[in-house]
Amino acid sequence: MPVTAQELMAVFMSRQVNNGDYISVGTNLPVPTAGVLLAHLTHAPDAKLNILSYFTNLTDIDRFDDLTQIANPRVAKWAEAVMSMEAMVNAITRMDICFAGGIQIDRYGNTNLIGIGSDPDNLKFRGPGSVGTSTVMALVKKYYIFTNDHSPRTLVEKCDFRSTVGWDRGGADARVKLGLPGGGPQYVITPKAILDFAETTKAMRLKYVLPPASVEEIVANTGFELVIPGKIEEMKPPTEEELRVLRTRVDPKGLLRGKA
Amino acid sequence: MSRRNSVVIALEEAAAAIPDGAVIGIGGFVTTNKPMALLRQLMRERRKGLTVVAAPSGLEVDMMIALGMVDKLITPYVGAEAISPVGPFHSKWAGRTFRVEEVDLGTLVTCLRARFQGVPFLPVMGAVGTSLPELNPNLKWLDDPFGGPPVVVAAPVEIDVAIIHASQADRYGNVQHRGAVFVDNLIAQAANKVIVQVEKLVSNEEIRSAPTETTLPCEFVDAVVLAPYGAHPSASQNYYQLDEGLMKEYLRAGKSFLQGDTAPLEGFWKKYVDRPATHCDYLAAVGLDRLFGLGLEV
Repeated sequence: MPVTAQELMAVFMSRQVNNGDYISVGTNLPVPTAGVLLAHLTHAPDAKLNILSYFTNLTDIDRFDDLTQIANPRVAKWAEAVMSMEAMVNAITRMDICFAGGIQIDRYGNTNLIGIGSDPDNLKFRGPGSVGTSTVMALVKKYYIFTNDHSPRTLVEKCDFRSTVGWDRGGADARVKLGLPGGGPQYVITPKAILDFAETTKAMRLKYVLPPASVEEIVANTGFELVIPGKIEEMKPPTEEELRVLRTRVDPKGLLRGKA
Repeated sequence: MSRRNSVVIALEEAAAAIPDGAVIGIGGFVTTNKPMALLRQLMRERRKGLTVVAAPSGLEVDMMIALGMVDKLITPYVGAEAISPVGPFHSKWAGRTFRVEEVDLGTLVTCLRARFQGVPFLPVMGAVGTSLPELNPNLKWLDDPFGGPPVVVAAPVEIDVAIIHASQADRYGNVQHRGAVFVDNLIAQAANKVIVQVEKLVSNEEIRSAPTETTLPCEFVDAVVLAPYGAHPSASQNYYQLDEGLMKEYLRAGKSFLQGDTAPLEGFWKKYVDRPATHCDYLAAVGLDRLFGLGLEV
């Protein structure tokens, strides 16, 4: 079976994880969860995975139960320590990697989980809420923005509301000016593309095209002007080992292959 | 010799301590450890005008909104992850039938800390640069007296009654989650009164055999209610997983209601809230086959 876009996204995320990293896996982010688990079961056995406030040892698991429901006490069987949410909030400045979703993501990597519209009391669409993202993304060493919908509806010029600050209104010193200690968003990962942020302006830039998408398709489906570099490199395809672990142990049900 | 008093009370008595207009704090996390038995009693009695301060919420808050019980909501999330990314009534009625004071988890934790630390405010970095200060009157900008960039500070949030679900407690109110406590310890500390429903009542000897497992010492607990399967349809740590089917039944009924067909949701309330007069009647309405099928290893 050919590699799906969601599998490529998971493989890319997996490669961002260093062995030993402290990572918190967020709610309702099955693709990032798959990426983190793939890293853990391949090159990052010493990563510290925090799921639902349990520190878990998942290195020897045959297969993972459920990528879709993190707030699930079944993960307790893998727990080697439990932290209160308060202790987790206190430890965010230690955290190496986290993931943020968004119903809107703007040119500078600010995200919105609050709602769409101009009047907060009369929204066109009310989102689920910020969950832990505002504080985590202010403080975590680096983070990745994830969406399953690469369209002008999600990738917008300006978010209607902001639940997290990425690079604010742009510039490499944007976060320093706000006094935010965390390292900010590194990549935006969509089913069509991997995007990063230009070094000086921090405007979103195309890094990799995920097949079968094309540059034209990506540009047409982005609600603002993306920075397009002169030469676009190809993402290194998944190795046999990455694909095998992903399909047999991380995602045996085939959620990322459109099966579950 | 004097005797220590029991704090164990009936569910109905616990619910009676929560009047219309109260500020209630709800513990648990998304679809786990929600104090559903207590909340269902409040739903049955159609408590009105509540301010709900809650940890990341599942569909229980959506149900309370649907029943017109909520005036003001302070929670970082309403949804059920992949089962339903948003709550249908929360999503449709926010700002219309109830007010929202926007927080994320770190902001909520800060508001609760400010309350029990007795300070007028605490800084919260998570709100800096976000829309939270525009969407929450408890958040204000303040110049950093140490010369850094301006910061956002959060005012205390006071809770009248906290409602929490845990694995076990003794008759004196020593509570053990035997798993994650989520934000329950902070909600309890910020509340004027704390009610904990438990799967199991245990002896004080059993609590003393593992005192490091005690998550809420009796000082933080005013009342304990025995409610086996009391978190259903959410999951309960050590006991059962969430009942996805029942959540989907609610979601289908809720969506029909919002599209104009009110009958399925009326049927849902009748079956699961109004007709069962007690918590045990509710469990009977759900059915033992179904409940016992929710073991953690499936």
